[in-house]
Amino acid sequence: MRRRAFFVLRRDIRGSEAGSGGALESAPDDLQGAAWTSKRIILGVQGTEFDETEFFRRIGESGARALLIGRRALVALGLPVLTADYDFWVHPEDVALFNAAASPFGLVPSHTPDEARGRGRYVLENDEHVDIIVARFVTTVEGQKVLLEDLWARRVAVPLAPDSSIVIPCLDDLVTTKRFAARAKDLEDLRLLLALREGGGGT
Amino acid sequence: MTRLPHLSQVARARLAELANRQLTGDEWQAQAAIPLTPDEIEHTLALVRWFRRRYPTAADRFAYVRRAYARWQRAALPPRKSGQ
Repeated sequence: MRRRAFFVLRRDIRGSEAGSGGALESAPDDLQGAAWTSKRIILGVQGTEFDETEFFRRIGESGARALLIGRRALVALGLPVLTADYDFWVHPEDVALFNAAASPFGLVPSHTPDEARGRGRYVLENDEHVDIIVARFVTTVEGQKVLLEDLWARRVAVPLAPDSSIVIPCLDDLVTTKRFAARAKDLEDLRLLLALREGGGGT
Repeated sequence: MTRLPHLSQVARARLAELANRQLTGDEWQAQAAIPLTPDEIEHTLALVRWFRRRYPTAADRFAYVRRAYARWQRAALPPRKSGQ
């Protein structure tokens, strides 16, 4: 909750800097402080509303080669699994584009684009948590080299709203991404995806 | 509605640890080689049919997952004592 209050407040300060602070800016200093304090408390308990559809729309419009992977991609296909995070695989050349698209939502990168490219991973975070793989390829637990450009060429767009869709790997490729980290929960997801594939059910 | 048991921080951490444990190559191969049973496939497909019918668009499904996760988080936390 503290983190939430911080980011809401930060957004509000940005608005104030842009001239939308109204009477608050012209108040005496001591009153301004009091007003900020009360405003901060009110904003803190309100929390933020994350407009998921708008988030995906901006990413789509950014031109970044970014695939939604992980459990939220399973949800898009109709598998009822729980998750708190977003997982993306982003082309190394498109990290800045991706970050710019996420910026209006207060999502702050844990590393600069250069650092992220060096590490192969980074995080965007505020109330939401976005894990990002930054790589041209990832090797599966069985040693198979999986190229982002191949997955991108076979990508599937799932409609979210009339002007918005999310881009995920095709079902076969999503199965492959579950072999990247090879955690116990990936195995569960793998079986769900294989069952879905057996039933012929992509999007 | 079924009440979930309240989980301590330790229990939650342990569950996360189990779910996120990285399997060895051999473990993965052995587990991944277990074939799906017809029942497992049908059970999964029944869940998918229900989920897609109840929440027809991806946006609906995402919204449901956000609500369900928040509900799960609340339910898994111990009840607050009066005055907290």
